[in-house]
Amino acid sequence: MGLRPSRGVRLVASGALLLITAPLLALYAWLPIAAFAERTVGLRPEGFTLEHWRRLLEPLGGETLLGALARSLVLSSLYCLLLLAAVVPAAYALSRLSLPGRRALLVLFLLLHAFPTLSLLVGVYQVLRWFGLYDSLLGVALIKAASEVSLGVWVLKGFFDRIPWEMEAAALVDGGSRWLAFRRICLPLARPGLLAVGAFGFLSGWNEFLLPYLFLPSSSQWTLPVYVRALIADFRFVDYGVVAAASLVYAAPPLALFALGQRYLLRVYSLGGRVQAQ
Amino acid sequence: MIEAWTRLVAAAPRPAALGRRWLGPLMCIPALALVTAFLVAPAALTLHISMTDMSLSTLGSVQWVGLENYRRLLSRPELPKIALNTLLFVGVNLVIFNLFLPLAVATLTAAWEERLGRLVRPLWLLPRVTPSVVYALLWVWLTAPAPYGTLNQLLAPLGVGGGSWLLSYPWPVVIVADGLVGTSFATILFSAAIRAVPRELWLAAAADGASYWQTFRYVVLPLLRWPIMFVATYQGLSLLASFEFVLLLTNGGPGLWQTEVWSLYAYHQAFSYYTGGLQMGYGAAIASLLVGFGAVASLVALRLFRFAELTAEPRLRAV
Amino acid sequence: MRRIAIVLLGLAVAVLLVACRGGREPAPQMQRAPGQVQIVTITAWAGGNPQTERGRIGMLEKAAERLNAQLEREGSNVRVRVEGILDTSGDMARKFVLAAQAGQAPDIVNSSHADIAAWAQAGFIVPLDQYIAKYRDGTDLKDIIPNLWEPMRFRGATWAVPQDTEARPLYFSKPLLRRLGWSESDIEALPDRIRNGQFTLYDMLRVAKEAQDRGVVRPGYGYWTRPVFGDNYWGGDFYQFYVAFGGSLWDPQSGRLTVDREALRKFFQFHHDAIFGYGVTARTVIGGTEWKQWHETVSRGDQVLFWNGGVWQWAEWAQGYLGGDEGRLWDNVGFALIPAGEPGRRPTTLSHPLAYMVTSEKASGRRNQELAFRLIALATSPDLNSEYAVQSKHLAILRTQLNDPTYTRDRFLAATSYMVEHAFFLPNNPDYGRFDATLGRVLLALAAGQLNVDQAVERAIADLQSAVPELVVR
Repeated sequence: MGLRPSRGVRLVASGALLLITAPLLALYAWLPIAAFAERTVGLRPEGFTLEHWRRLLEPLGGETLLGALARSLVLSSLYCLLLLAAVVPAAYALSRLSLPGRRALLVLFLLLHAFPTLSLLVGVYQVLRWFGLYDSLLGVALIKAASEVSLGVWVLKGFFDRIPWEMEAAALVDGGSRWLAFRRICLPLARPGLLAVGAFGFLSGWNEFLLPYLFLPSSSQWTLPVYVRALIADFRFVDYGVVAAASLVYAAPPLALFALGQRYLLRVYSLGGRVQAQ
Repeated sequence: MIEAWTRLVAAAPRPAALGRRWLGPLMCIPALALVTAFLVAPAALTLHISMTDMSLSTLGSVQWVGLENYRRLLSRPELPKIALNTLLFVGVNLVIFNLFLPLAVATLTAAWEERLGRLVRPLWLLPRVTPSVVYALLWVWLTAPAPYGTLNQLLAPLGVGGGSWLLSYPWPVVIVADGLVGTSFATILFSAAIRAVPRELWLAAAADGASYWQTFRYVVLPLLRWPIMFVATYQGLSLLASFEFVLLLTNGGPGLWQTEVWSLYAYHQAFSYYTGGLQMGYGAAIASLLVGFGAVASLVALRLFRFAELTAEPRLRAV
Repeated sequence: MRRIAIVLLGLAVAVLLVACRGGREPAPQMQRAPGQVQIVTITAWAGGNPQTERGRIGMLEKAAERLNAQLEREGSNVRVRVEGILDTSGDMARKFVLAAQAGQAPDIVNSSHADIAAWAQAGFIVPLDQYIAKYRDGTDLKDIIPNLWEPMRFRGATWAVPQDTEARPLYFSKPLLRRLGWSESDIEALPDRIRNGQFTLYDMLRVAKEAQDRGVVRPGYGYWTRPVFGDNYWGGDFYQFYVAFGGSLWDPQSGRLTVDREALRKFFQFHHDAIFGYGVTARTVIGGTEWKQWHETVSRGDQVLFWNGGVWQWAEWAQGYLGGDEGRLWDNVGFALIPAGEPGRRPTTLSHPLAYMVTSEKASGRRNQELAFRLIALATSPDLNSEYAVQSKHLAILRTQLNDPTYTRDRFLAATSYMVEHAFFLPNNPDYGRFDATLGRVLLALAAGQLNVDQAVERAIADLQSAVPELVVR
């Protein structure tokens, strides 16, 4: 019977898997422990304290944690909306409409991945300057959206591709326009995809560090990652308890989103079910 | 059934309202505008700046220098080291953490132990959803010197270690940390692909007397060719350009150029004030070479994947 | 679906409005209302250690109160408000340049005087001579120690007001010297011997080696330079050793950068000897030590025998690493000038003043230059500066501070103030940054064992000549 290998192999492999998963546990376990302990020796806490949380409320470099938190929220929401606004129509068009240059566009969106924003920061800076968007959350959101549009289009296209033609045809037969079919039929049917890309977008905006670090200099524009990073300034003694507490606050939303919306995120990472054995 | 519907559609009255020829391009405009202004324009500008001498000491009087920056780059003594670092970083990461490990985990959890998969998969996805700053911090703490570091705490009974693992073995730590982030992506892809293999194929092979491994090797693996190549290209490109974790963990150190990868080198030269002198022109040249290499690699990959299969025309055409 | 769309749209509009505001208030920043007070926000950026050097912004904030009082007395209805950020120096400098190019720089920036050349050349900061002339006599600016104006000058104009200064001593461990067999009077006499040129750099290496050989210190802990991690390098401290061998970095008359072959060779030789010849400097110090680790080790006072640091670090160690126990530092740590390189030369130290600069309209998009200058002038007062100096262990910039009890009472500052007489300053030349980075790469390669001394000298001169076209090689 060749459906599964022998029991022994499976056991060993499972054991190996658990073994390499354990470090991940050790990695993440430290965060909540350190946020509430006076000192930690590895994973062992020494002394319970809420001092770190109190310190978090003090301003750092002229900015507070709550301010950074609010701005991260704004950036993530803005980014999510921008991404969806750009990706949804394009994905539908590329999936369901016959438009000139369709193939070229698809190739373009795939090739764009070869132009990572991270490598183009010098040019990005000039463009932001030109648009007057240096030191603005909108600027960062636009740059990021441009870099992740291609992934979004391909993922959402995958979702649109799976909508049966019959359903869209039904709307047309009833005398509606293509646009109506899009709004009334395809969008609702693609809602899992929309939620997936939206969740992914929000998460991506929340986690973005380098762009705000470089292009949002005034601390009145700091987002959470820049704030947390500033806590770990490179030459002074770092109070890891405070850093852990701040990190917990920062990492909580993505982890929560992940716990609740795992299904959707998994869909994005599986490219909307695009992947099939061929 | 399909024929019936198609006939019905063909007989339906022409839809009015939005001109149908416009709709497609119109819907693509937001994405295209975004990409043109904020991705293509920066790319062009980066290339342009790479041929100037823009840096801290030339602000206000930037001049065109042609290929001077490239010439300078190619004569730098540290270039071989940086190229090697990049090869090491991308290569090891790709092969172990984006191909081998995900394949192993996917096989194990998708094909063998479903329940284990449900337990383990969320954990493996964690690095990807954790903010990079926090993730790097967790690794710093894990590898910190005794008595702080968790790794040292766990290994203490064995009498091993005591120093900072990150500083003593920067490459392994950086590769593992960065690798785990990518593993989840490939694992999910491979899991889906493995599960999509029709059960009939397994049974047929089994009926022919093939062992599990033979089936896997000659039946399943070939069917995974597309996901594997996709991951190799996509993640390969990502790894080539990414430097965020190296920046956060070792910043290219501890020794001179020790963990400096190409993309980080470009970033340092362009954006480091004191050690780089904000040499945007030079940094842009370094980055342009990288992007050029990536673009060529993408094109080659596209040819290899028989791209046509992905771009099949939609069925409802003229409407 | 429709309702959701409307809500989302509304949210989008709201978010866009918030986000579009950008990082600063729009250009017309004065609210005009006849007869009413106009509040001008002066933004200021500084780099430094948040624990000890917050005063760089704090002094401006306190000066704002005084300025407002003055403005009221003058009958003006303008008032100022300071918005300041303190960042890490490297980050702050980069941010400043990017922001200045985008027309969004702050009104005041506090940074190394060595940045003046590049920023002035780029048009980011304004010359202050006219303001100094206007406000000098009415403020404490007239009491600034005269030779501190030198590093503020570039191409014939003055571009900045000194904010603090320092010296960079050679620190040594008293308990380790004792263990080596030195008597108390030997230890007490060491700074003077260095000052008189009787104890040279190689004497130091010899003592360090002896200590290592006798097991008083661990190998590689005999002499520690400033730490370098990756290519995160800043050469000022290292060049003290080049100067100690008679080298000079520039010719102030012509403004051109210089490099003296012989001194450069001895500079490289010294570091090579320290790491490889005598083996008293661990390779990892120059090849992979972070500031945190370095501070933690040296501040204990009984781990490293000699190390090269800065006077302000005394405050960082006391407050950041020893929990406020400055007494422990006095018990364990001594300090002196950087010894002369060889007999016949003089000891030296680097003094690296930081200064307040006023940004140009092109850089900041605003016209608050005069107000900003007045703020700076008021921040430069003996009481404010002494408070800052004592807290952060920086040296005085005003003559009047030398009579200020707050300042004179500080034991450490009193004990180190003689050092500025032996100090040199870094060049004010736009290419200095490139010079520094280039020379640094060669030094780091030497320290990593990739180059020997001869190769280092040749490579350094070749690289420097190509990086700095106007270099003078002597």
